[in-house]
Amino acid sequence: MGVLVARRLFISTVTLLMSSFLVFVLVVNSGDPLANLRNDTSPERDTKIARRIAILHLDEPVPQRYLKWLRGVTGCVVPGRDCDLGTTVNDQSVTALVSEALGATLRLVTAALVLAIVLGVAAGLVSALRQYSGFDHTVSFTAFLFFSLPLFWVAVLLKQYLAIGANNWFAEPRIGLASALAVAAVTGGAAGALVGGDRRRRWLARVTAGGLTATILVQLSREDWFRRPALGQAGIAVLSLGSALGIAYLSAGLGRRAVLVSCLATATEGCLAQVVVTPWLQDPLWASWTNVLLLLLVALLAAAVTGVALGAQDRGTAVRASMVTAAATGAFILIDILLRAVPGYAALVNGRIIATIGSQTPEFAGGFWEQQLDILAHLLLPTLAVTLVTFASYSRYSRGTMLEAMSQDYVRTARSKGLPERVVVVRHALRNALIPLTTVAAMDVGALLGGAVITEHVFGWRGMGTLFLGGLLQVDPNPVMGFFLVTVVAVIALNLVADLAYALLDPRIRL
Amino acid sequence: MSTNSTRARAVALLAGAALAVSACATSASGGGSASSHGSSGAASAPTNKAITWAYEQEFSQYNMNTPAGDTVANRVHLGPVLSGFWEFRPDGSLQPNTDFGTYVKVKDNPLTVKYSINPGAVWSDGKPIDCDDIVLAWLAHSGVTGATGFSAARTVGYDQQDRPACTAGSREVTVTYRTRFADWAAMYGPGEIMPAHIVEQRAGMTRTFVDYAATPTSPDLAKAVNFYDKGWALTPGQLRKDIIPSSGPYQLDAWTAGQSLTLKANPRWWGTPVKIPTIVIRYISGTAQAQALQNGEVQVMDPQPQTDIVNQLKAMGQAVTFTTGDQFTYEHLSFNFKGQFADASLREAFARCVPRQQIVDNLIKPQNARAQIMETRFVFPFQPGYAAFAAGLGGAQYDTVDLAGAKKLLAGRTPTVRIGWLKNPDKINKRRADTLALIQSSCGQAGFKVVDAGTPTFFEKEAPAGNFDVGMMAWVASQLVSDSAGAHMTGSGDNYGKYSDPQVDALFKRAMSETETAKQTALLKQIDTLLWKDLESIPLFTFPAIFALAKNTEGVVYNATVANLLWNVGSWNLA
Repeated sequence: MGVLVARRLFISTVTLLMSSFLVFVLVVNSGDPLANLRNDTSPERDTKIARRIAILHLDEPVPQRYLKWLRGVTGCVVPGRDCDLGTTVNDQSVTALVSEALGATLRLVTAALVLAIVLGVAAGLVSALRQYSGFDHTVSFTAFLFFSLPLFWVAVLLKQYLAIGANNWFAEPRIGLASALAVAAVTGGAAGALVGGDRRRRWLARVTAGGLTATILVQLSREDWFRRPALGQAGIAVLSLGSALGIAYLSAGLGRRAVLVSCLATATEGCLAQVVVTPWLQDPLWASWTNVLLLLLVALLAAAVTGVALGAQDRGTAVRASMVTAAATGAFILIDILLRAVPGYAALVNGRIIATIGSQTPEFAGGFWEQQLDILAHLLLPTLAVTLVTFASYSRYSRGTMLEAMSQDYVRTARSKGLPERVVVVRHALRNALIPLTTVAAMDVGALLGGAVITEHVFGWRGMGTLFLGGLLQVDPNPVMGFFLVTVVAVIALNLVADLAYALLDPRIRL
Repeated sequence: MSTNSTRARAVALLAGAALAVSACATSASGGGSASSHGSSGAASAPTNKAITWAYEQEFSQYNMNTPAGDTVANRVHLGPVLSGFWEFRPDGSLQPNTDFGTYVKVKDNPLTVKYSINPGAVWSDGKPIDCDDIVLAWLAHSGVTGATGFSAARTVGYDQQDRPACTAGSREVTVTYRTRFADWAAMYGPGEIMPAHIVEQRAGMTRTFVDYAATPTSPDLAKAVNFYDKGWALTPGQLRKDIIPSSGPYQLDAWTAGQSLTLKANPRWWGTPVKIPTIVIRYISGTAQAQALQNGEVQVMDPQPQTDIVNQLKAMGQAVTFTTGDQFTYEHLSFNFKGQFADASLREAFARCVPRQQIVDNLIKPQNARAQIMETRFVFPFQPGYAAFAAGLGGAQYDTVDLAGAKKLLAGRTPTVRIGWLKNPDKINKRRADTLALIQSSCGQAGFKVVDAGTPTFFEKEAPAGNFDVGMMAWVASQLVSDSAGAHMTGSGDNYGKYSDPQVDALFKRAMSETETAKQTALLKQIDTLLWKDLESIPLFTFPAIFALAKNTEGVVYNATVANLLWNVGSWNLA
């Protein structure tokens, strides 16, 4: 394995050198770096041109300029020297620009990527299990639809309806019976498709889910919940006990009581802890991510203890399932705290909760939770936009690999052994189906680090894409090379990681 | 086994109980705490008023006088931060900034101007603004510091001045010109007077700039030059507040790279107090600005006009105040006098077939309903005095297409005309492409074969080499005589058509040393008449501008000059 990594790194370095030279030559020849100065009518034009020639070393041959750039870059790897990616035509340090842009891009794409993977895999999994059902067709249709929609247009629509429209609605947040019924019809339809089985069962699911949705919406609207949203202790209890049930079912099945009990116990502990934790975290003195992480650690520890205590002979599974339950309960408590901060946040931004542009409200003066809401409100639309377009590939991939896995011999063997369907799907089929997705995900991370140019542009984020585009349009080679360096290194590294992960996940592969 | 099941039952009971308890508790405590939050939020409703302006380009450095710092964006950001003795009004005329100080022409021969800095004027770090700052501005702009000295983006005028006469700490400065200079009233303007004490301190100088005024080539200045050149280039997002004091109504307060820059009222500002304590400049691309305005994230926007944005803003109706205007930039056709258009009859034939009115009607009026044909090369249709200036220049005869006249002048010839322009295949300027199409169709009927010779390298290769017949380009017009001569004088770098007329050259030289505005205007009118007679170029139209405000915003006045919107930021207000 060591040999393989060394060989790969060596080859990658050579590739990097050759491609960086190629890109450098392409960029410096992509236009006239003095174009905007040639239009200058001031008498000092020649001075400005001379200055730019000096900054960009335009009077030197291209290979020499490349070597100059390379010398600065070696500082990033060789210790004791400064990492110097050169300067822009306006004398700004590219190293600083790149780190700034990379930070923005990471914030922009991380949530979107995680969301796309989770939702995409889930949708793909279910549509594979319910192949050729209404759900399957709907997922396929939506995936292809979003995949083929132009992003800039989606962005404008999102802004118009999910930001401007939603904010107008927040001014007087009420849901009429008609809209509640419309939403209920959608959720009911989804539930029916999801449940499968015979006609009666599906109709039962539709009516139950739809009726529940309509009732909840109307009730929430009547209580003016949307103006002062919160999950409340009851909400947290229902949600966390519900997820405890689900987690227990997925990890061990409801038949193994010890696991179920320890999950439920963990959820209950969480609900009891919430009474103390919520006011504590709402206190401006204590509100911070460090404390949230600390509490999460405590919760995981408590969950592990609960699992050990109640797990009996299923101790291992119980501990794992309890810890997942604890994390889920923690998430609900966090969501509740964030929701309770909404009215305060709305007042600070004049009721315009969802933002159309930028990564934060300038000059924002809110407390810790309002600040988190501000970040979320600005992330919402771009994250949705990126998720929508990347969702397709994950749902299609996971559907394909899942279908393939389900038709494998080992799945038939597992079934014929008499294993419950849950175990066959989760443990035998899904695990194997996910292996090819590591490559897709690793490549996606690399590609997304290169920046979502259009998303960044329409939502006013200055990330890697903007850096690249701006440099290219100005024929300013250093920012483009900085962008190139980060992207290529990311792609090479993630490729390597994907290969190593493959070997770990699939024992048949040896490095 | 039995213990296990008992324990399980106990836990299940516990869980159920907890659920019941919490369910009961919720309706009281949950609702209660939420409402208390709501009221506390309402209590801390925004008392700190702020206006946000959507702008496309980011700030990069505090010194806009060096070639690297000389960007429109820096000039715009620094307008309310670094005051000078004057500012551009929206109509392009100069308005003395009496808050900063006053200046008068003392005598004409030699041209002598006396500057008096307001006695209360201080940098926001408490140091008085005085003679030292003026001397630094002169040293940095005049080119007297020699080869290794300050490099300035603008030297014209300063290079004709003797060293400013003043003593250390004085606020009265007398400036004498070696030669008469037309734009004497546009010296020591906004952004040009930098804090000398910061340079002295940071460069570790032991003497002040006043001491060096007599020996401007002293090698001791090298450190100062270095700091002046590089020290004020800022890393994105990092304002080094200790070296960027303000001499204007606002100071640079916070900068989030790629997102926004905040201006806060300067607590030491001695002039007319501002009405809004916080101005935020948010970096938003033009196409995203309209929705940000609709969503209340910005209150002011003035993007580059596009018909799509105009339609978006119109659709918002009463929610926003939307107006159209003009920029100080005009599109024109330049004849190449070193080619076939050396023939005056050919120039006239072409001028007769160019559909100037149609170009304005089809391409500009959708964005600016008041648009009209540009008849002059020096005064814009929206400036006062345009009608008087444009009258009788001789360009009006080419307002309407005269195909018969053009055909007669061509006398059966069918010349091929290559129209050269900056055509970047990645982002083709649609307006230019459309203009070209209209000219092609109209002049085609007269007998010209109009060819699209647009290239991405037009200003780099084709234009300097004279490899075109007609150049289609725009001049960003300055309101200063010294800046507008370059396009028309013999041998000047911007005179791509190689037009040369000794009479025009002589008149320009007179205008550039004429210190009376009225006489300057008369000379420019003579020049413009000659340029029309020779058909040096055909001015077409002024670039349109669009401008929209949230309904509750007051006092914002569009300004198309380099001063931009922030020129009167002190009087911006929220209803």
